[in-house]
Amino acid sequence: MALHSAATIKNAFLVQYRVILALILREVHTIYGHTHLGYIWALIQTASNVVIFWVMREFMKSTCPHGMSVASYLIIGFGITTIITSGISKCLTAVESNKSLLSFPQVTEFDVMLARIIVLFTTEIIVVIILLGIASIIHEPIVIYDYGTLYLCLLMIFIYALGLGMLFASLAVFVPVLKQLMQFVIRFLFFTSGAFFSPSSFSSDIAEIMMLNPISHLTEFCRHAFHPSYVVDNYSWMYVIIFGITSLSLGLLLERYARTRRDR
Amino acid sequence: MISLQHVYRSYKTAHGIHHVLKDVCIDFNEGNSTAILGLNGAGKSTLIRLIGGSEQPNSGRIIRTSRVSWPVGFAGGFHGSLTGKENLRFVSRIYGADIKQVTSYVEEFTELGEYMNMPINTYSSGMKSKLAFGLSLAIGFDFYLIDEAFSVGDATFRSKATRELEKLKARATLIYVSHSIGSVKHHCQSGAVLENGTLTYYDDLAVAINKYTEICNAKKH
Repeated sequence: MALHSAATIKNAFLVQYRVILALILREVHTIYGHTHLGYIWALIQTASNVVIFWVMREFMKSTCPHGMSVASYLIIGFGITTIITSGISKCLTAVESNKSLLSFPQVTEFDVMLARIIVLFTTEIIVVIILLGIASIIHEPIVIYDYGTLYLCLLMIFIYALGLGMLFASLAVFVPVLKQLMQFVIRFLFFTSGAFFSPSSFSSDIAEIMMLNPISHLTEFCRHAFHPSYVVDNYSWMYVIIFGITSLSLGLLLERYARTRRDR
Repeated sequence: MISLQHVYRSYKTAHGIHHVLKDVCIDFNEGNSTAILGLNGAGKSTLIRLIGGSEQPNSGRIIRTSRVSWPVGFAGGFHGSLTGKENLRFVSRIYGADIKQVTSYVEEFTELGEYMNMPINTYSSGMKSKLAFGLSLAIGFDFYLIDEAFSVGDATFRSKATRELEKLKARATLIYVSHSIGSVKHHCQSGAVLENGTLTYYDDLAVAINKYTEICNAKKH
């Protein structure tokens, strides 16, 4: 009996692995595979955001906190917020775009969302590495000082993208207007994420609002991993982790609940 | 085996909730091809979609210990922006089948030629059904779900498909939905009659056909 159960579980994992791999390959093919520039678009999108805000900062004669270089400051900030905010948007449309594939019993809503987040996460990380490499060559060498913090940041970024993505995508099943409202929520998350200006650059009132957004904490911790003198005393790992685990748990629960209530 | 345990399925309509299946309990065993009989709108296609897993019940459980095909003739599982070959690759991956073998079998069986490299969006419904049928044969299932919409494609393809179905019966079990008593008798050993959301199983196909005929006659009067 125990052997039979173990075999069933092993088989279930094998099927899940095959499905997610197939969905990842499909995503990779359909997201950028049909355009002539292909994956260079992903690079251009993040690079253009960095350049726009870099120019803006230059005009404002604004320096980065704690002596960090503008390039690495912006690339890290935009990398994190792009993964999380795009992750939410991609999860919101994941089921609709893969409706036909969901007719296979092996493919679930969770699989299509997870596959999208894996593709987005991997693409953006590669984009960030390339951009940091370019910045390192033309500006100043960029060194990782705290690998532990960086790995934890990467894990939390993935959890935030998947957790918040599933949470909002499942809530939208019950409150369809949320799909339209999400652009405002995503914009709010983006502007308060500290991607282009840290909370410490603002007055205490604004900084307090920004620090309610756990992404701003995550962004600052990630910058700290590259720049040890970058002060992160006001930010809380506890807040980042509790918010991340809560959103992932709620996202998983709600996704399971919403699954049978979707109009397939 | 496929086991349906206390399965309920309803849909929201403009006139309220429409209960299609009510407390359906049935076991389909390998080697015993079963006909699903019922009037139009009785819920046969819904039942087939639930058995295949493309739709979920509102409550109850469906346990599959065998490999079950999608409804043959149904081509809803293809992604429109991917080509025929890309869709074959996707389905082969999720079923753990050999991509090369599947592709070469389907190419030969469907005779879709250059269309295999074109997006599914450009296919006619007959072409999509051909591809789905060819693919279901290439993957190899223990149970094949065959809806009456089986008559896909042109006459040449239909006779080819019928020949394949005959061969299929030697190695797989059919769950067969049709209004044609002749083909039901030809393919199945047992029957289940769906009426007012309730499914009744009969070991003896002749009894099931009699019951179905009674329902049809009652409807006429």
